[in-house]
Amino acid sequence: MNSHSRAWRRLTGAGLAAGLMMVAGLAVPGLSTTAHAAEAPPTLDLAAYRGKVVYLDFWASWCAPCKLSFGFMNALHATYGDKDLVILAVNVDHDRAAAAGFLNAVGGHPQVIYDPKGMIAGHYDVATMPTTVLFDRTGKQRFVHRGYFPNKTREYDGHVAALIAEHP
Amino acid sequence: MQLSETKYRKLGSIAAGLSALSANLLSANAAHAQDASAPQNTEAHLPGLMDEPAPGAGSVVLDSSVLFYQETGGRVQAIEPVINGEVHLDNGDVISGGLTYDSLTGATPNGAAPSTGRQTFSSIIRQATSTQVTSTSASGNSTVTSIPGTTTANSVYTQPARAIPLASFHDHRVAANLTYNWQADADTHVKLGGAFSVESDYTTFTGTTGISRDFNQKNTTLSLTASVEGDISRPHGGTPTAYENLNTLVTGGNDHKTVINVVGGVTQTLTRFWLTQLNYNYSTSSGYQADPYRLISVVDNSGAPLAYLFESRPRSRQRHSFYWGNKLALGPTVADVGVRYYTDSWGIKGITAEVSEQVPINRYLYVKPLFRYYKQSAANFYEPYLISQSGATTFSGLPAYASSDARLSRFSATTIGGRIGWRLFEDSELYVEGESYRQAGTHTIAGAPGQLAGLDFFSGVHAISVMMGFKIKM
Amino acid sequence: MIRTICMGAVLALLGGCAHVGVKPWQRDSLARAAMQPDNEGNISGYHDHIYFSKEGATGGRSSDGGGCGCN
Repeated sequence: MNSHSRAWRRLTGAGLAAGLMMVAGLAVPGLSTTAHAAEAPPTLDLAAYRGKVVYLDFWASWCAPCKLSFGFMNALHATYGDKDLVILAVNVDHDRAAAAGFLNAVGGHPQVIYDPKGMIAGHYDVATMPTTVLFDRTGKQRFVHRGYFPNKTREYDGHVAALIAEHP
Repeated sequence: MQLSETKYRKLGSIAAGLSALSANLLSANAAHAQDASAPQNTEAHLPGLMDEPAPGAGSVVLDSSVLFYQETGGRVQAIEPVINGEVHLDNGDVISGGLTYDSLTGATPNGAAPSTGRQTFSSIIRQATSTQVTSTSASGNSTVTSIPGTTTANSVYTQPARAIPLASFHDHRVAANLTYNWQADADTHVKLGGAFSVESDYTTFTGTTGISRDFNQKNTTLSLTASVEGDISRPHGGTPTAYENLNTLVTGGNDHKTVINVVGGVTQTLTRFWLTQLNYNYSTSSGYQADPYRLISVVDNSGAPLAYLFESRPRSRQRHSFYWGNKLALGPTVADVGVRYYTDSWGIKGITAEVSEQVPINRYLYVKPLFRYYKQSAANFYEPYLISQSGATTFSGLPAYASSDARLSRFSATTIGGRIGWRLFEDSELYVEGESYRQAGTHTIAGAPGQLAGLDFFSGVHAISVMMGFKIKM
Repeated sequence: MIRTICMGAVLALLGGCAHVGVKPWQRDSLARAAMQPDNEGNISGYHDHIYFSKEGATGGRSSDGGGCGCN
C-alpha cells in the first residue's frame, strides 16, 4: 500500500477514535451528581410581590460575571432593601452542591430559587448569563440587563432607583 | 431491612419535596422563605482545577513558563522563557500581551549531502575584531578567521565522513506581542494587535486585526482574522543569490518577504458536552523564502562532491490549511481531538491528528496525556543533492529550484507526552509537560549514484521538550 | 471515498447550525476551563514554535467561541 493511502488510513483511524469518543460522550449525558430534591415550579408567581420592585436575577456557579453581580446585588439590598426592593436569585445549576459552594464564597443572604431544568429561565427568555429582569410595583416587566458589566453599575442602579421612586 | 429503609428514605424525600413545592405555589410568604427547596444531603463544593470558570471582567491572569528543548545527537538545544498576561477590563474589553526570549545553540544540517570522505565548508559568522585573528576550536574541527574592517569572520569547519554535515550556531531571540480586544456589543468582539521578533540575523513585524460574532444565543461563533507580516533576513554574510557557489564572496545584502495570513472559522456548541471548531487558514508569502545558510551539494556520477551551492527557492508561496477540532466532556474528563489538512503551492501536503485527554485526579490535580501524528509529502523542488553531468565549475541544466532542507522533505512525526497540572492555591496552576517528538523518514536513497548509495541521508530529529510554568489569576 | 465522507461530515455539521446547540443556562460543562477551545496558554505558543521550526505545515485552532456564553 502506498504511503498516501497509509496516511489516510491513519487519519480515518484518528477520526474513528474521535467519533467513538463523541458517541460515548453523547451516551453518557451527565455523570455529575444532581440532587433531585424538590424542583422549582414551572413559572414563578410574582403576584405575591405586587406593590414592590422585583429584581429577578438568573445566575449559575459556573458564570464568572455572576460572582461580581452578587456583590452588586448585596449592595442593592443594603440600599433599597427597606424601600420595597425584592431580590430573587434564580439558580440554573444542574449541580446543587456547586451552587451552594458559590453562595458560601460570595456571602450575603440572597433569596435563592432553584431552577435546575431551566423552566423559569426559559419562560423569561434568558439569552445570556447572567440576566436580570426588573419589574415595577405593578408587576410589569420594565428593564432587562443582559450580562453583567462592572462599568455599568450606575446604569443598573439608576434603573432600580427609578422604579423604586415610582409610586402608583 | 436495608432495601425498605432506602425506599422509605426516598419516599420521605419526595414527600418533603412535594410539601416544599406546594408551599411555594400557595404561600404568600414565599417572599420570606429562605430557599424554595434547601439542598439536601449535598455538601457545598467549589469548582475543581479543571472546572474553574474562564476569567471574567476585572481579573488579571499571568502565565510564566520556560521550555527546555533538546534534540539528540548534538543538534539543537533551546531554552525559552515566556511570560503572557491578560487584563480583563470592566467593560468586557481584554488587553493581552507577552514577552519571549529564547536562546538556541547546537548544530543543524547545513544542507550538503554526506560523503564517503571528510568535507570542509566555510561560513560567515558574526565576530567583531579590529585586526585579523585566527583561532581554532577546541576539537580542531573549525578555524575562525576574522575579516578586518567588518563585524564578520570566516569560519572554516570540517565534518566527518559518512555523516550528515552539520553547522554549529548560537543565537538569541527576543519577541513581544500586544493585542487589544474590544467588546463592540453583546455578540461582537474586534481585535487589533501587533508583534515583533528580533534575533541577530532575522527580524519580523506583524500586525493583526480580527472580528468575531456570536449567533444563536452564542452557540455559533464566526470569526475572521487577518494579519500582515514583514520579515527581514539579515544573514551575517549577506543573502546569497540562488545557486551561488559557497566559495565565492557573497555580495548580497539583506532581503525580505511579506506574508498575508487570513483565518476564517466557525465554533459551534453541538451538545452540552461537545464543542466543535472548523478553521480555514490561507496564507500568501512573497519575497525571499530561502534559508540563507543552506547549501545543496552538486555531485558527479560517482557521487563525489563537486561544489556546494546555496539553495534556490521560489519567491512566492501560498498555503491552505483546514482544521477541525473538538472538545468533548466525557464525564469528568475532557478529550481534545483535532485533525488538520495542509497543502501549499510548493507541493507539500500534510496531515496532522492529535488527541489528548485531560483527567482530573482530585480537585487540585489533573493529568493530560497527549498523542500527535504528523505526516507530510515532499516539496516538488526538494532534492537531497544535484547531479552534474557537465563539468566541475559551471553547471548547466540545474532545475529552477532545489533545496535539501529536511523541512521540505517527506517524513512523518509522532509526539507522545503528558502534562500534570497542580493547583497550589486557589486561582493558580503549576504545570509541567514532557514530550518526546520523533521524526521518521527514508534513510538511504534508492538509485543514489556511486558512493552515495547506502549512505544515511536522514536528518530528522528526535527531541525531548520539558515545559514548566505557573499561571495565576488575580 | 474516505475524503468524501470526511468533507460530507463537515458540511453536515455546518448545515445544521441554525438550531443546534444548548440553552444559555445549560452551559455548565462548556464553561469549564478544560473545555475552552484554546486553553493551552503558554504551551500552545511552544508547540507552534517547535512545529513551525521542524515541519512544513502551519495553521490550526483559534480561541474564539465556546465557553460559558456569559456577557
